[in-house]
Amino acid sequence: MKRYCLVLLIIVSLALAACQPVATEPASDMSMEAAEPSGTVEVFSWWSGGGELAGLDAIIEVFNARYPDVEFDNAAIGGGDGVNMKTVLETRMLGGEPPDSFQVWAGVGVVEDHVVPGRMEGLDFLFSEEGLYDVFPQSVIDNVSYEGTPYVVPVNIHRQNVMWYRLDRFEAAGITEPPTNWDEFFVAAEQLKEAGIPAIGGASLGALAFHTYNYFLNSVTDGETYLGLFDGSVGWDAPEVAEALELHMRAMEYASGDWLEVGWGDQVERFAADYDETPAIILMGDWFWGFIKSEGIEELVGWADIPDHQGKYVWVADSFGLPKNAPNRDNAIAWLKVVASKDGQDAFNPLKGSIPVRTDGDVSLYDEYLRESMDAWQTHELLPFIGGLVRQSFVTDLGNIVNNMLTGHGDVARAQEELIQAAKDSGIGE
Amino acid sequence: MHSELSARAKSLPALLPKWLRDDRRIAILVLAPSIIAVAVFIYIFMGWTLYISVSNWDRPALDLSFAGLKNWQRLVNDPRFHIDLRNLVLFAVGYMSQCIVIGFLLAALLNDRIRGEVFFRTVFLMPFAVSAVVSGTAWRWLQVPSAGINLLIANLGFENFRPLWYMHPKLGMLAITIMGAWQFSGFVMALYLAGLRAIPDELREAAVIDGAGTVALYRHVFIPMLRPVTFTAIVLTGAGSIGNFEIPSIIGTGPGFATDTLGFYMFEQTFRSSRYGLGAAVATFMLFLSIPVVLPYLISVLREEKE
Repeated sequence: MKRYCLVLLIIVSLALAACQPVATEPASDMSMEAAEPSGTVEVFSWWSGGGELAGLDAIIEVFNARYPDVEFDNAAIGGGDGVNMKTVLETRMLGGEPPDSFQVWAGVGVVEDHVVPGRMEGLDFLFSEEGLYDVFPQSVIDNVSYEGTPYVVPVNIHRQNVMWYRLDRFEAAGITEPPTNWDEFFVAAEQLKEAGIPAIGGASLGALAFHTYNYFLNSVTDGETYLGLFDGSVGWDAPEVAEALELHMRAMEYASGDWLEVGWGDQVERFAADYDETPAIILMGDWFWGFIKSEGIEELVGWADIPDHQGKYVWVADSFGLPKNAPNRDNAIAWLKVVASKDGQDAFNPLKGSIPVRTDGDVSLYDEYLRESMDAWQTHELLPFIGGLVRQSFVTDLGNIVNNMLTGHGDVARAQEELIQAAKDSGIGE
Repeated sequence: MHSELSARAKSLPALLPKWLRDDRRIAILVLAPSIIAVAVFIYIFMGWTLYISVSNWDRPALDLSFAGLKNWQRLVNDPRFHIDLRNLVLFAVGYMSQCIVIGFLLAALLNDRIRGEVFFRTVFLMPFAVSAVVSGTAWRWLQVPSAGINLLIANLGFENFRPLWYMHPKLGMLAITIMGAWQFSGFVMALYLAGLRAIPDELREAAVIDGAGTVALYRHVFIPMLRPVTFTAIVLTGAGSIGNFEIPSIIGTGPGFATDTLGFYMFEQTFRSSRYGLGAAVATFMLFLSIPVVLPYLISVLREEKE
């Protein structure tokens, strides 16, 4: 008798274990019912500090007010350009356990990495329901769409090409006007050097080299050549590529003597404080404005177009998408509605230091810099950022190749050869 | 009481069906879950990784079509891979020798039953308990050429001696071995100390009576007797050298990839560039590399078991 009890017990426990997945499987057609969303929503982003965090908190507040029954699970993972978050995301995606929604740059990157592999849900229904086709500019809609269907909801527009400078450092070196071209820059850099001030901030970091190289590339190309490099109509053997590499190397000679040794975070801290090594200029996207505000150093800092960037607005849109099999799909859609809303964008952007994608944003909420940026968004030539034009693998390669040249071999021809190979490898022009 | 227990133990097989009363069958049944788990999660996945390394999967979309040796060809032609191999040699030489020499010396010092032994043992073993991320960050600051240890050197009057440490474009890896050895030497010390304590006192006394001094004692008695411990230390530090990932992830890959490792290269190719095939080729290469390190150890363990 006992023997049979034991066997029975084993069978029952095995059966129970086998039943478990069925019991926890989420019901998939819940969106058809108009029930009030409840439960949780897990959202990935790389906003973990400064103005970015303040902005995220503000939009979460809007979300909480609108959906009080949904608990917002802020799964932010810090790290410049989301390098760490993307790694975690990739693991979760491959493991079939996507978060409910995640931050991503709009453009080719998200299309190649997530849309083409069939990981994302199309958002045509959301764009129609929320009237987004009318309030987002056409160029942005084109950029977030693949074969006519939008896949992500952009929450903001950042300008990637801004020159930030310390007014007191310029004054100490007798510089009255920010340089407008690279010749003027190098004259100013010499003046700064004589005054013992590093002209430009830098660090040995692939992601930074990638951003900075983009500035030099945009300085020496017109819009058509720049875009051509990524759609394959212009080869990476173009002389402009080498010219930009040379400018980049030359500019870094004016960085602080220890720029190879310290991290980028350290350089940014230096820019906000007073050290001998405080750089006079930092080339960075206008997400840096959020940092400047959170440090309270607006009075100390001026901004201008990067040398030879007059009339160019290189833009990045942070966006959120809806992965297939999101565990809390309804809540994810609720989040995307907040991301797209006027309230949401106007809560988020003034703090984040970016401008709303919607054309009906409330101008009075934005500060001096952002109003200027909203103006430029209307008048400048709009160029998507590299991150929105190529696969992630090229972004990583470009950063490594340029960083390796700057910190190691210093050979422009070799770096260009490697870039040609990387472009081929990432299927540019396929 | 005793007889009651044994009576119960005897009745246990009686609970089981007839076909299960054989000891060997029970052993197989009990071991089956772990055998299956090991087979799936280690050996099948190894094979899976090997297959991915010859597939065309070089973007996020899964692509398992056969690519031949394309990824391997690319790997052996990649200059970064060559640098990583050089770095591996530098790291292994520096790290293994420091861990073993320092670990042995510390153990020899502690073995004389000095006062405060427990205190020193804890101090030497402590770094092993510190997370590699924490110690890596601390060492990074110590070795920043414009500050840290160099300030100390300058204050001692050697202003012109300013080593680049981990920023050295060729030998940066050696500076990193100091961080690694600081962390692991204490553990090697514990291994040696246990080995020394296991040597019977009679042997030592016999050698002393025969006129052996301390040096001769170590050279002719202790070191030969500690050979299995040295062997273990070589295997552990060797495997640690091959798998090194944490340090470049904390202090960066250095000028011209001077502090890059195979592990970090694999990670970056796989997860930051979505080149799964190439990443798998690096992983498989690392696996092959660890075979000559681990195999002699396994053989000796098996041989001991037979004896």
